[in-house]
Amino acid sequence: MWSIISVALYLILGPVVGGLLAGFDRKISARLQGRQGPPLLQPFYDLFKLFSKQSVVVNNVQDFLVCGFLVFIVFTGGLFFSGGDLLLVFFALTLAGIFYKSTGSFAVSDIIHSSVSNIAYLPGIFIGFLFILAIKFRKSPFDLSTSHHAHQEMVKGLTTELSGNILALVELSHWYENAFLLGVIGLFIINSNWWSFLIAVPVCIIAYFMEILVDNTFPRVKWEVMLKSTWLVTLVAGVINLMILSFIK
Amino acid sequence: MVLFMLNVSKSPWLLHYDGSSCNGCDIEVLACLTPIYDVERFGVINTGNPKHADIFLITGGINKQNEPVVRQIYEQMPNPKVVVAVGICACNGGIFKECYNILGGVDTVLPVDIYVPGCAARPEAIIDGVVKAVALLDEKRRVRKDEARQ
Repeated sequence: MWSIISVALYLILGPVVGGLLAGFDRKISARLQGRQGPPLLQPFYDLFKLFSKQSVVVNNVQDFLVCGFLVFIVFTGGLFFSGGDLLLVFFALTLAGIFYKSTGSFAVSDIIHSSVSNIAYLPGIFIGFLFILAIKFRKSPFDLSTSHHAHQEMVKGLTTELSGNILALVELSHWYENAFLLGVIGLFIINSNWWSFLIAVPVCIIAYFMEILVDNTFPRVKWEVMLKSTWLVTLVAGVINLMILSFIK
Repeated sequence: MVLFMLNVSKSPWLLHYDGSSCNGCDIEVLACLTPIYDVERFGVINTGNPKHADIFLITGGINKQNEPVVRQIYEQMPNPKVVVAVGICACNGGIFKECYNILGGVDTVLPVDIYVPGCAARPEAIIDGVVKAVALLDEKRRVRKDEARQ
């Protein structure tokens, strides 16, 4: 019963949280640059506008693929918030990506009911995850010309050929994805104690703020640098973490 | 509330194209994005992609070489869309009007909706032109909706 409520909440609140995050992101980025910035609800205005625009379709397959991307992102988040199997969650997320990662259990519901927060055992994995987040949130230095900010992009990544409601669906999928990714940050903190939720929320907010700060501090890198540095950080931090974990547990 | 949010005017994304401008107007267009003028407070994003753009902002006159380019960019933009001619050269050719290669202002090729004169057009004038273009976008959207209903 509880899992059905969580999934329903994710389906309804996912885009709201994702859209508000994007709004705060643009506002804070503007303030970091000494500008006033757009209204908080700007991402929603953008989304509604895109839905009302004409959609120029280059290839009908793109509509199918973008819809598949949205369905699999929502499916991933739904599985995660229903307390499902983490392996399945990330498999579904990878699948979504094609369409357009202690406690003795892989089930989210078991992990959040453990007595100690996972970050105590998995600090290296957490660091690796934060590093990957910059890519998932499409932020500098790893935004690869998919930045959401006011400066001009020559070619806007995968969405270059998309317009109107199909572009809006991509945007909506990203909001669902961002809400899910913040949930994964929370998973590192939440344990069986009720007050762990009170710590998880500020940790999610701080993590997101750090991503905005990094976004505004570092210049963009080329994809080769991104690939190399990501493997380096995730392998070193993650593998050392797993090795130590295999000795102590 | 929802109807209010549906307005295209709340999120005008613009595409800036330099025709045969001397770059004076282009610098002023880019100055609009700086902290002093900050057009992003109106939701304006400089897209650089015709398929994402609502407002086609052209500086400089049209010459024989960029005529097909301007036409193609305009055709790639999804409806509703508006064209804003920034600077006197984009309005009627300006000081380059009599040159052998200049066809004239942007309106010799495209239906221009808003003219922003000036040499160079000041950022305040450009923002004013964009705001007028934005009001026109809403009207064009309403017309499009009415046509679809019939």
